Amino acid sequence: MKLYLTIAFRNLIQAKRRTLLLGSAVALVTFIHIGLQSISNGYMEGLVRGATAVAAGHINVVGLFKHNISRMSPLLNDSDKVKAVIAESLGDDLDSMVDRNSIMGRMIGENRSVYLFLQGINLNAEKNLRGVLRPVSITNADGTKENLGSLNTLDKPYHIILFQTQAKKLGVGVGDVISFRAKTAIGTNVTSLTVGAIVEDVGMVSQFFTFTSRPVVQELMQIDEHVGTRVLVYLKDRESADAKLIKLRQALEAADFKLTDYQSASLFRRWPNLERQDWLGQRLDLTTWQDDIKEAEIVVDSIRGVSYVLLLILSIIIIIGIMNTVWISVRERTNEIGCLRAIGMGSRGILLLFMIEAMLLGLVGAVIGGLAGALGVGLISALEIPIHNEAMRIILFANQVNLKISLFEIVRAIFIFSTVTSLAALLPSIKAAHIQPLQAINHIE
Amino acid sequence: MIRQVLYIRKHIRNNITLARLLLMFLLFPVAVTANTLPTSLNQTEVNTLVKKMDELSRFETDFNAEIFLQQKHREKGDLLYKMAVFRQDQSNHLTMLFLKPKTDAGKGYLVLDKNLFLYTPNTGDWTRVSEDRISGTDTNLADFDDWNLSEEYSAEFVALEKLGEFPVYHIALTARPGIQVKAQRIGLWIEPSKSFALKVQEYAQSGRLLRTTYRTKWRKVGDEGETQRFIPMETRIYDEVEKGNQTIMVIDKIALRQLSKEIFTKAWLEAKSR
Repeated sequence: MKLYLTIAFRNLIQAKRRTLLLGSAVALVTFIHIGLQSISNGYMEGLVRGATAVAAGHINVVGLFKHNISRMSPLLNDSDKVKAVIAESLGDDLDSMVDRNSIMGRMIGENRSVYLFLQGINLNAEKNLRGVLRPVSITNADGTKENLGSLNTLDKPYHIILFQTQAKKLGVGVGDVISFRAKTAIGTNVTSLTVGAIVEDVGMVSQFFTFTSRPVVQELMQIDEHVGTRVLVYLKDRESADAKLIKLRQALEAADFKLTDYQSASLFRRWPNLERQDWLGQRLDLTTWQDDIKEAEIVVDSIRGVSYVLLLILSIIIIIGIMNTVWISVRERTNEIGCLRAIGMGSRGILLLFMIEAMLLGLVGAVIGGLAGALGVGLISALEIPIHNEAMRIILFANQVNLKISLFEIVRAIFIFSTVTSLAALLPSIKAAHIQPLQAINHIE
Repeated sequence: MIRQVLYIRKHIRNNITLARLLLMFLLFPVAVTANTLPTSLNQTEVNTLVKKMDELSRFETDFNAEIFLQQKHREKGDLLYKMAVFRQDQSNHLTMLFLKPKTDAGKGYLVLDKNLFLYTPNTGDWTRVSEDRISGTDTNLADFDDWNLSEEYSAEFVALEKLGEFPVYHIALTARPGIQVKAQRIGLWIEPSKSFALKVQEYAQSGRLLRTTYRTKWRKVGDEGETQRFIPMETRIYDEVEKGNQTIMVIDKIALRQLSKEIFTKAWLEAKSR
């Protein structure tokens, strides 16, 4: 085998220009693949982080109350009993759970107003949320840095935390008073809230969600402290959410809670259909974090789709390039093949020789491309390049360029592209292996 | 299209100018007899007054009219709508068909079983919508429909006050428990002799003022006696939360004649939209 490797390596060195060209092509394709993979990974991470901290838990239990056949409100009675069932059912798989009261309404600023989900939270219990919310830091004229408010502001009554995008739209800053108007189960209600902190955006969810303390929303909705709207369940392993959802549904049904039919889509999307159904009273609606981000996942699918199409085109180009090059190589080295056969090398040996040559070329190219890709991703992440365009921030769920790639994905890319390169050389290598020794020796170029 | 909009605007402006004159004319006898009004009303008199307002908002016959809505929105600017409204109070039916602007023509609202449905002709979809805002203006369903204040609210006399030059009874309404209403408290400033509300203020549960409505121009319709009604021909609505938003509602071409039952069906609205 060492002999084959030496011959293959020498052949590659001998055809320097060809090797350099093809090796670069393989490296470039691997590099592009890793780049695109890291973009979609970074986006997915931002999406999941935003969705599972700002908007929802790993499993969401929402109370839906139908007052009459066509009017439904998000109201969860017996939230303590629901939480007890959840805790008992999930046992050690449960990481934490939090109560949130959410109501949709119009946030009215000095010049503009926007529709938002106002979430009444107990920030001390929200460890996931605390990890994501970061007050915007500004640099003063004297060079000192200052945060726009503090998260602890929610300890004060009638205070609100706004995302940067929301504050900009509403034209408000820390300390300003804004109004929130919402339609509750008993009619329209309005409350005044002081902006306590402005936090950095967390992607698309920053457009729709904002936070205040639980008593504010309770007062707004005219509900007592035992009534909420939803319980957010955090699991130790978020990937097990689907299985745990089934378990939780069974446990809640066994505890005499009525549930809505499960459908893998966000509640927001299913709301009109649920409102039309002919049941009355309370039902619990359960979704996983995957259900809630289903609509946003279209961006990930699009990135991956573009990535795959691009890779397919590049792979075809590489395959054609490799095949063509090996064909030429076989033609150029027909006499050499004849000599090798004449001194006793079998057709398998010839096949192996060309295959190893192509594999070596692919491997070196893919390794260089893979390492360059990993280095590029690491460098860009370390630079923390801010995204200034608001639309891009919303689409990419991040304030700075966020790229992620794992070692497994790098190894997988190297394996795929070196295999593709090797397979591309298979046909011309078989052809070379089947050349008769006499014919090969007498071959005149 | 521009000419049509200018015509409607001019129409509204003329009506606004006329409004003050007509209001003065209507309220002149009240102003003269102001000294003779009792300074306070007992609970029975208050309840009777509110019940009478409800009755006067209801038509014995069917009703249809053209309504102009001029919305002054602080973000969107001025918008002008023209719509045909059909009411059948005996059966609690209401249909609204948008005629202008062209972009909204064919859009319609329909009240069915106390639910408000919106028809969007572009998509052909029917959606149940909130009664809070009609087509994004400051009007709500109650501005087009009959009132039921005596059942939904308990009333309390506040004072005999003056609204400009004219004496009015200020009545405070508080929502009865368990009833879903758009405002938890309402302040009414009622003209004593005709029993119509010249000014209405709606409050949220938190006590915040939501909306102030001035009904500045009235017209007597129907024959003398039980079926005669005063209709607010011009209503000015001010959003008190989103300051700067206001809507002027002008009613025109009122007709009190029997309407076909088909008008109050989805099929009729869909056919009209085509």
